[in-house]
Amino acid sequence: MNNYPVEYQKKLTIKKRLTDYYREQSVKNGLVGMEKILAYTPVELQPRAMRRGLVVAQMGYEDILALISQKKPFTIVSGLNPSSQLHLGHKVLFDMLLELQQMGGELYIPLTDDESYVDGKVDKLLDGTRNAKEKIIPVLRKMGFNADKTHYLVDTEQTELYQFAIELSRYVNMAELTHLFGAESLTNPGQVFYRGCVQLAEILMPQLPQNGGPRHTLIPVGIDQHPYILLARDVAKKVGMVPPSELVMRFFPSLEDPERKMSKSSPESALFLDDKPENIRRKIKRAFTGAVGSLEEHKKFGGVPESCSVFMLQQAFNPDDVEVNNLYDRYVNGDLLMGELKEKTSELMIRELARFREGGI
Amino acid sequence: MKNINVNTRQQLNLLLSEKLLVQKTLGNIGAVSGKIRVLYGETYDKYGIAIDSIKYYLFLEYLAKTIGNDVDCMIAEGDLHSVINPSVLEKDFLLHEGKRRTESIGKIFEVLKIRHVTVKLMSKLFAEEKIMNLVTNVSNLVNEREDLQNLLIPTVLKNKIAQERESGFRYAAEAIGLALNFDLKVGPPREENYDKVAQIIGKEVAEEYKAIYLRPSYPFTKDFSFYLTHPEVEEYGLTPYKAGSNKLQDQRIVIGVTSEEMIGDLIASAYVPQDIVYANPLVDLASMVAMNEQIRQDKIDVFELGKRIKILIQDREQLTIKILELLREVV
Repeated sequence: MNNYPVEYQKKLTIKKRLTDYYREQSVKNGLVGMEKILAYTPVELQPRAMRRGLVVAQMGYEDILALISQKKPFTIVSGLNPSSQLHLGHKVLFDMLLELQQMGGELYIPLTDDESYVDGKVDKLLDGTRNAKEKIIPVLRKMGFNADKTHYLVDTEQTELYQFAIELSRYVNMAELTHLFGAESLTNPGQVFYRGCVQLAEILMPQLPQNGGPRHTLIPVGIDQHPYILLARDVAKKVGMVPPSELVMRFFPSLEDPERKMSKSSPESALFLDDKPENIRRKIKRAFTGAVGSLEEHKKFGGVPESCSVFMLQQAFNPDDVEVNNLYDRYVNGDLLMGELKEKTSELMIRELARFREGGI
Repeated sequence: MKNINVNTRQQLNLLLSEKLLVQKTLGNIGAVSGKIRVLYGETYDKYGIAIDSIKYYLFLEYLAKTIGNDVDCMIAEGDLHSVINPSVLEKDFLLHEGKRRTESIGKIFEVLKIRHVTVKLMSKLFAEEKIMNLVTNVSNLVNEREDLQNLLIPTVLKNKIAQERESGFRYAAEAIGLALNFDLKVGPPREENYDKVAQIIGKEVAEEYKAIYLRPSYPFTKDFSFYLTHPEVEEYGLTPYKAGSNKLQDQRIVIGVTSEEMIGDLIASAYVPQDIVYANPLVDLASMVAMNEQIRQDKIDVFELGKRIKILIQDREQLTIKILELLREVV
């Protein structure tokens, strides 16, 4: 038995639950941890999200690294559901996509207006299409991606995508789909076609002969999207394409609860790209941290940064590795007070969003 | 029988826990006693003697000096075993190469002041009745027991399993039979696969089987992704005594073959991860230099050994100079 205060033990328990969750998910899904990737890859070739621990597992990323090492091109596919506005969880992904593009990646961003509709996230199909074209793509264009190597594809406008999806339909059966996604995700024919064929086509389309033929493709995903990659790897082998590689990113935590996702449907849990400074300050001030309430106990026992939604923002967005490491050490030792962390983090996020609004990243 | 004293045992334990040199051990090495006979077996190919073999020769001497004078180490040079695989070409050349190689190794011992190690051709060892009896016992056991055969399967390439089954896993049975004639075996980590069987058989036909596995021997590469895309090389390294292991003879130092300029280039341009627990060919070179220095000065200090290895790894220029000095002597 230790003599830690109950509140501190609770924070430790949250850290353990989060660690165990990703470890169990990785093992269960046959994914590989990041230890060796981080050990062998030079720091300058590790995207920030990777070296800060926001990428938790991978499958086949070694093949992509071999191409990066030889300065050869590769493909990245990262789909985006345009059902509502973008938040900072997306920005972590975009930052990583930008870094990977600078290492040789040609980027395909399918905007899945069809998915938005079949899942009931928008009332009309055209709402998703309009969101994609009028709200999402203009934001993405400001992210700094190389325009010559970035392809924005609004699903419902891609004849080639749907033709390919129909072709792929014969390589998947209903039993497989139900096993991978669960019956609750396949409640209408649109969901069956989207999950069973269209998403596969999005992943494999860059390998069609007219797009350059078979090649290594990297798909950054959340752990909940892993079934898509498994299916795509299986079908790729059947159709003579290269099974895609995968990087699994941890979900971006809600500001209110590090064990839940930052979500568009809960505005106080998320920072949005167009949030005003006063909103950012308010949300961060109220955010969940890994410190105990008593100052005396915090100084004595220290805090648990891994359970802190505010520190996660530092990990994801502070460009200065030395400062983040220093904050971590001070946090663990109890030298960093939450007022200082929240103030620093508010300024960081206001600055990041201002840079974004000015057209940079 | 005379047990090794406490101080020596402490030094031995320190040596065996030096992770820059020793990967792992099998059995209770500290329980060795009396006149200790140590075996290191190696085969070879047409490409010559890789520098990694020297690490093993130096380690045997270092081990002997750490334990004391009651240690005899033997290198079994596998002339017959180098040509046992039907796919090996130039069998006549390789058979004769064994004799030439033992002569070269003898010269290396002389210049590196390796006094506790001898080298003998396996064809001569297998002519000894005691060894042959043990090999026959092991072969019979392996042939009778499917569980042992199954354990040996990982030691064989997939396309050679049927052929090995047919031969009664002759190569493995002979390697195990030979090793059981000794108190302790030193080898690369991949040999652990044989030794799992040797340990089982050892309990039935001899004493507890003991082995020391040195840290794997790694090739030089400029490509940071090499070890990620070659996980087997990352885990087990190359076969130290086969210069052409994995067809990577151009990415390692072969004595008398790799030019000084090339050696300098291999060392200077090698990509190595920051954490030295991962694959790092500089660690192999540094450990050779460090062991050689202490053996020459007859000042064995295991604690200093690890420190010296770490210093050498940090200074590639110095490491290159030291390695070239060592090689100039042995060529």
